[in-house]
Amino acid sequence: MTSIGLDHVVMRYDGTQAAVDDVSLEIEEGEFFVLVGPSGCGKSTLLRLLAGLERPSSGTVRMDGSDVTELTPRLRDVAMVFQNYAIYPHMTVGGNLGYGLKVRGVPKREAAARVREVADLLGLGDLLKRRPTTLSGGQLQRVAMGRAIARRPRAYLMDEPLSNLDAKLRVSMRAELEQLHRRLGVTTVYVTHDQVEAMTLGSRAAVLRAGELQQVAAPQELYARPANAFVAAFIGSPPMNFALATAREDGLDLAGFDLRLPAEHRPPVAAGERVLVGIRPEELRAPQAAGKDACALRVTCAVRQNLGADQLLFFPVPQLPYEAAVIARATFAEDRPAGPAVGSGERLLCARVPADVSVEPGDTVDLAVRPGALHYFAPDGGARLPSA
Amino acid sequence: MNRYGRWTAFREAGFWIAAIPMLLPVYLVLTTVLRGPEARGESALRPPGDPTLGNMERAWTEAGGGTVSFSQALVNSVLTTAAVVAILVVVAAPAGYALARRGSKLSGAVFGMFAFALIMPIQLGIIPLYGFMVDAGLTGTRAGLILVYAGLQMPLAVFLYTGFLRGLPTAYEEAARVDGARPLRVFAGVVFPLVRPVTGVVATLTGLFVWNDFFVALVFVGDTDKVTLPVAVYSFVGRFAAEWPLIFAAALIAAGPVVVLFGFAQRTIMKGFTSTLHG
Repeated sequence: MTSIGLDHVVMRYDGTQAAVDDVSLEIEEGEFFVLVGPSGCGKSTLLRLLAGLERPSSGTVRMDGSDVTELTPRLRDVAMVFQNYAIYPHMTVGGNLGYGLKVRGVPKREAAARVREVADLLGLGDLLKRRPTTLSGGQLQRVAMGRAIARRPRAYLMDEPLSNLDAKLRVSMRAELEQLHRRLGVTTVYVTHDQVEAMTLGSRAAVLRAGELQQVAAPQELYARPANAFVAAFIGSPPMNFALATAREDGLDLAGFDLRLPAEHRPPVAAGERVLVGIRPEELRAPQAAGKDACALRVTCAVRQNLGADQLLFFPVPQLPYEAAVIARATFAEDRPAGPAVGSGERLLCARVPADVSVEPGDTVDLAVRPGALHYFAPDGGARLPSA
Repeated sequence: MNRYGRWTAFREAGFWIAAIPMLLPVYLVLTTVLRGPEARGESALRPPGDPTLGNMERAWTEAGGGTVSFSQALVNSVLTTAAVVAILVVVAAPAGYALARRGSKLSGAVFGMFAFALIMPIQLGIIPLYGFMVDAGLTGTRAGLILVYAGLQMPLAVFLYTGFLRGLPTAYEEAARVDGARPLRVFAGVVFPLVRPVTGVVATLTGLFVWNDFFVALVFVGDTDKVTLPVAVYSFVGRFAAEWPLIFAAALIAAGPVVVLFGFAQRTIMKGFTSTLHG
C-alpha cells in the first residue's frame, strides 16, 4: 500500500509549452485514482513521470512520503499497463507474466507459483504456454494486467488499458477491473480520455487540460459541481448545454426564455450582466417530472435520437456569433473532441427525456428545468460561480 | 483453387525462360566437373556420357596449389566468416540501438557517417589501410583479416539495425524497465530478441560477402596459410591453367556449405528480409 504525491511538477520537452504544468496531487493509499482529460492534456506524461520513465523538469514525486523523483523505474517498484499492452512477443504468456519476477531475482519456484496464481485469477491458466501472437485483444489485455499483478508492486499505473477493446468487452473489463482493485487493494492510477471510465472507475478523478489540473474530486462531485466550464463540458454524456444569459432582478433571460428563479438560485451577478449558464441534458425534463418550482421552456424539436430507454431531443435556440465565441472560449471547445453543433445564428441544445414521451422532429415540446440544476460560470475564463 | 491451367503453364514456361541465364552456367559447371579426362574434347553443352566424381576427388585431395591445402582453406573460411558475423552482431546491434534511441545531433552525425561509409568502395582506401595493417603487424594474420572484414561490413550492419530499431515501438523497452530490468538486461532480454529478423539479414548478407570475397583476402592474407576458399580456388588457376574441371570442382565445393545452409534456413532468412522491409 502506497501513497503517491506530486509537488509542483512541471514537464517541459525542449523549450516547448509545458506538457505538465505545475501539478500538485495527493493520491491516497489503496485509492483508485483516475487522470482524465482530452488527448494532449498531459495525462500520459504525468503517468510516465510517476513510473520514472520521464524525469520532471522541476518539482518532486513522492511515494510513501519519500522523494523518488530521481529513482529509476526499477527502484520505484511500480507496475504499468500500457495502452497497446507491450506484451513481449518473443516470450510465452507465462514468460510475460513472470518476466518482472525473473529480473527482480524472485526464486524460480516462488515465481512459478505466483504466475500460476495470477493466471488462475485472470482465467489465463490454459494459455501460459501460448505465444502472444495467438491471443485475442481481450486475452492480451489480461496478460498485460497479469504481468502487473504478478509483480505485487507498490502501485499500478494504467495508461488507457481498455481503449483498444471493443465497446462490449470494455464494459465487462471495467467491472472486472473494479472488482480486482477491491480485492487487491493496491493504489491504482488510471489514465483515460473517456469520461465514462472516469465516472465509473475512480474513487477520485483529476481532470486535466493543457497540462494543468482543472479539478480533483470524486466523480459525483465533478458531475454535480464542476469547478469550471471546461470540466462541466468534459464530464457527462451527452455534454452539458451552454448558453449566455442576462441576469435580471427576478431571474434570467436565457436565449429568449424567461426563467424566474427563487433568490437562492439566482446567478451571483448584478441585474443586466451576462453570465454563462450550463444545463445538463438530463435536467431538461418533461414538466411533470421536474417538480413544482421548475421553469418551463417551450421548444421546437429539430432532431430526435432514440437511445432505447431514453431519447435525445435537440432544439435550436438563437445565438449571436460573439456568444458562440464566448462559449467556445470559456469551455475550451478546441480541446474537447466534440463540442455541441453550432449553426449560424442558432445553437442546438439537447434534452434527455424518457423514450415514452412521443415527439417527432418539428413538434413543439414543453420542457422544464429545476432552478437548482442551473450551473453558473464566468463568461470570461469559465470559473464556476456559486448561486447567489 | 490452384488448378494447373493454361495460364499457369504459360507463366511457368516464362519462369523457366527467365531462369536460363542463371541455370546455364550452373549446368556448364556440372557437366565440366562430371566429365572424365578421356572426354575432355567434347562440347561443354553435351551431358557427360560417363559421369565421374574424379575431378571432385582430385580438387579436394591434390589441391593446395598455393600455400595451403584446400581443406585448410575451407576451415579458414568457416572460422573467418563465423568470427566476422559474430563481431558484427555483437557490436552493431547495441550500436544501432543507441543510434536509434538517442535523439542527439551527435548520434545523427554518427549515423550519417555510417551511411556514407556504406557507399564508399573499399578499393579507395585499401592502400592506406594496408599500410596501417603492416605497421600494426596484422597483415597475414587471421585476426587482421577478421578485423578488416568486420570494419568493412560494420556500416551495413549498423545501418540495418538502426533502421529496424527506429521503427520498433519503445513500449517494449519501457515495459521491461518498469518491470525492473536494468539497461543491459533490457537490451539482452527484450530488444535483442525482437531484432532477430535483422540479425538474420545481417548474418546472411555479411556472411555471404566474407565467404565469397576474393579481393580483401588476397590483399591481406594472400600467400599465407590463412587464405580463404576464393583465394585457394584462384591458386588452382595458376597451377592447372587449363584444368577447368578442377577449378569448377573447387568452386562447387566452396559453394556447398552456403547452398546447404540456405536450404535449411531459407524460410527464416526470407522472413528476415521481408520484415526488415516492413520496418
